[in-house]
Amino acid sequence: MCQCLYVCVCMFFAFVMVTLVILWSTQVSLDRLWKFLQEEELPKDVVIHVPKDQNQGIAIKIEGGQFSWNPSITPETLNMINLEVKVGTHVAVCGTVGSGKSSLLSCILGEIPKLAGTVRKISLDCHHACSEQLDLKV
Amino acid sequence: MGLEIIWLLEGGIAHQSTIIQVFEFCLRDFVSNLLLVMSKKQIGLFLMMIFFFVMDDVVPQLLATFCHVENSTGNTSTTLCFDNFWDETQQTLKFGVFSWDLSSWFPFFFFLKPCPLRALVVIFHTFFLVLYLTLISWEKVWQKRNHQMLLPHDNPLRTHMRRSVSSCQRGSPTYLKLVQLCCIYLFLLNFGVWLFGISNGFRQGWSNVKLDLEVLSLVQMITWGVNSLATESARKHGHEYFPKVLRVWWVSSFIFSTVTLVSIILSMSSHTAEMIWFFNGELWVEIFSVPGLFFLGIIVALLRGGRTSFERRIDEDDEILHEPLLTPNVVEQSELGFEEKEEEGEEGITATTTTPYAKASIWSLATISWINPLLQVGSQKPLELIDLPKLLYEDSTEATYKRFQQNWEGLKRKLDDDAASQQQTPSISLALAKSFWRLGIVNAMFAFVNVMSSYVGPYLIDDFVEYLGGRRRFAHEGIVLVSIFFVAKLVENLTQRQWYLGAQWLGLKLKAALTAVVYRKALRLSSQSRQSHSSGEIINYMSMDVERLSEFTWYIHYLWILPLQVFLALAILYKFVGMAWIAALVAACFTFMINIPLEKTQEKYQDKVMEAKDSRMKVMSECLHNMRVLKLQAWEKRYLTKIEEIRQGEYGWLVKNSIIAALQSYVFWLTPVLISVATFSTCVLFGIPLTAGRILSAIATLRVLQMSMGVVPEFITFIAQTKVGTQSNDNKKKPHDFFLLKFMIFFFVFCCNELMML
Repeated sequence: MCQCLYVCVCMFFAFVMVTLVILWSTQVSLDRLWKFLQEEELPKDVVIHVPKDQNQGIAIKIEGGQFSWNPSITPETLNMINLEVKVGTHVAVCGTVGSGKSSLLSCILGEIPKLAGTVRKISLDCHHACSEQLDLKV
Repeated sequence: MGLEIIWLLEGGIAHQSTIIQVFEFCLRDFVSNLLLVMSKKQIGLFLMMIFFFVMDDVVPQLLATFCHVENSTGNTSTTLCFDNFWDETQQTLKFGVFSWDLSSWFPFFFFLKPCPLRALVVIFHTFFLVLYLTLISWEKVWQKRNHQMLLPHDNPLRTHMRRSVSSCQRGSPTYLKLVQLCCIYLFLLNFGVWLFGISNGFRQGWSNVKLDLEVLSLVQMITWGVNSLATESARKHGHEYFPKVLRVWWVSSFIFSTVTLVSIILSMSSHTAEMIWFFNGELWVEIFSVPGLFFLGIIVALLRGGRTSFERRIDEDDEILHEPLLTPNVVEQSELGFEEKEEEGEEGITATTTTPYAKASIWSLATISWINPLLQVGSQKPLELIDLPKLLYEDSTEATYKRFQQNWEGLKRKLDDDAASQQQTPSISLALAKSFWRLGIVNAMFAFVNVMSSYVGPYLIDDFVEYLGGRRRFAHEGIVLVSIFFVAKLVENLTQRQWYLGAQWLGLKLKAALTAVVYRKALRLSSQSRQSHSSGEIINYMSMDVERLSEFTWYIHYLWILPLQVFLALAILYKFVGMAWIAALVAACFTFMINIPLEKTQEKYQDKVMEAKDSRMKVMSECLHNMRVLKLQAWEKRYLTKIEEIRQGEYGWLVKNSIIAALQSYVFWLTPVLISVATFSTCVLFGIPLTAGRILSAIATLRVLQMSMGVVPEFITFIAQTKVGTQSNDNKKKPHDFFLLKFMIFFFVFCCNELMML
């Protein structure tokens, strides 16, 4: 009888083990998700959104901009950026490969970490323009 | 008032009548104060109590004369059972330490006797039944006339009004459903009593039937039937409150029921044994119906003020108010616009109708018949997105995501406020539990009821076989047993459907919420964090991890159900075959152990099959892409043999895989046979007496257990898959995991060794 009870306890323990493994495997998933949800988000105050009626004819304005993808590396990706784009104008950005054309667009979108300066943007959604439309306009 | 008392006291303090007057004044004052303090509901209750006291005075005189007539004609047993009433009134009732002479308290105690009380209940229910039906019919007639007068048939305003009324019906009518359930429950209870009496009458002659009890149960049956219909109509029309008549009815029937219960218990002491049995039957009915009535009368009618859970939406009411009153043309135009919009919606992606689930009655919820319209459409043509009705708002991804986000942000804020706490971030599981605990608990309840009811049959089979063998323990044993079997099986099936549906539903909700959260996070990742997570990884989060979590809702109940099931099965086995249950356990473990290597090899073969399939697909697609080159060089034959070679390999793995699958299903179906053979052979060896009933009980129990044993290997593969999935991404956890699995296997081996030694 005593042995029988012992076996019972053992069986119960085995079930507890199964339970623990299942719980643990879900815990791993939960942890992974949790870690992901803890990741840093894009800071919201990098770009100042100017309301449409107060723009004074200026669509985009960057003053004394200093941007870097990796703040620990000394030569910043973009330095001393001063840019002003008026409403209704077309601007072409030219440069060699790796000179920072995309980074300039990224800093207008607020994706690249800002070290100094101000970025103002008219509060409109940004769009990807296809080249045919541009052809027509230019 | 105080002055008046003093005046009265000064005037004639010695006179007895003045003292009575003083008391009367006091009483009147008390009542008026009470009326000021009490709310409307309480006044209604109070008035009803007064009504009952008045009835106490008047009706007993009538009934007493009635009883006299009964006694003189001698026709007592078939009509109202007042035969021994007069003997009882001569006796004194003893309860507790007090004993009173009944004749001095006649009018009051008359109604504590079960027989007159029954008559009173019948009168009361009939009164309310007639009242309710007349009210309903009057309302119908009045409404019809009103509508015809105000709004002619062709007026478009009328349809618009109907539409706006129907739009008010949103909200979850859980309380309404509970009320309906309660009414149906009471109806079934009384129906059972009535049927029992009728069947008694057929079997043993009508002279033994207590006709008053029959009439009572019939009237109560009709009452609750009508009540459930009335609540159904309240649901249909989306009333905000239950009708007042119903509320009063419920409250007073609760009072009646409790009084009856008390009176039965009191009178049990002064009756013979035969009467006690008879009263016991009624006693149980009352005991079962009191909680239902308590819910209806006290919780719904009084505490909730008779509110159904429909909520009237104010903005939609406003819409009716802002409706232009000018000409029917305007309304027509707006309505046309509305219809156009609807059509546009149908042309687009989403359907306009909401699910019938939103308005499903309890019956259709239990049988899941609300899906039927969709199935009907699906049987005629392949379903498209338009055919699928809209989800309820609470079930939509938007709502679940919002709820989860709310809880998540709330937890975050709480932790931010608690600067002292070590943990700076909340746990997802807590937020998930906070958002979905209600569904989970309902699901767990269904699962528990399911497990419990699945063991009722095996437990009672022995009794049934004994009954067939000629044993009679109490009257109607066969009917009782069969009805218990039937009800248990019914409950088992219904709860199983609800449980499975609920588990999947919960999983889908979880998946929707978590996927939405991960997607939103992926959109807002900063550039540094984006570098540490590749897009594939993020997709993995959304597909694999979230999927596993949603699967976990399926398994979460097995975690506690499996031990419970095994425990119940072993307890039943122990009851019927004594110590031979150990043999059953050994056999169960044995088949269980067989399953593990089978499962493992199958997994291996599955992998191989997938590999072979991948390589074949690769070659095939290459061929198809470069068909021109193949044709040009005349390499078709060569490539065909190459593909067929690969196909041969795949074919071999497929054969092996299906052999393993066949073995697995063989073991699965062998399990109960093996276990029962082991059990009964040990029984024979150790001389434990076996009867047909015991054997049937044992086999039925093992059959139930088989299902849960079949889940165990599935369980283990689930664990293995998770292990494989997490190993690739999560290196840190690996040794820990390995240790746990080893530990588990070690324990199983250990158990089996112990069992062998026995």
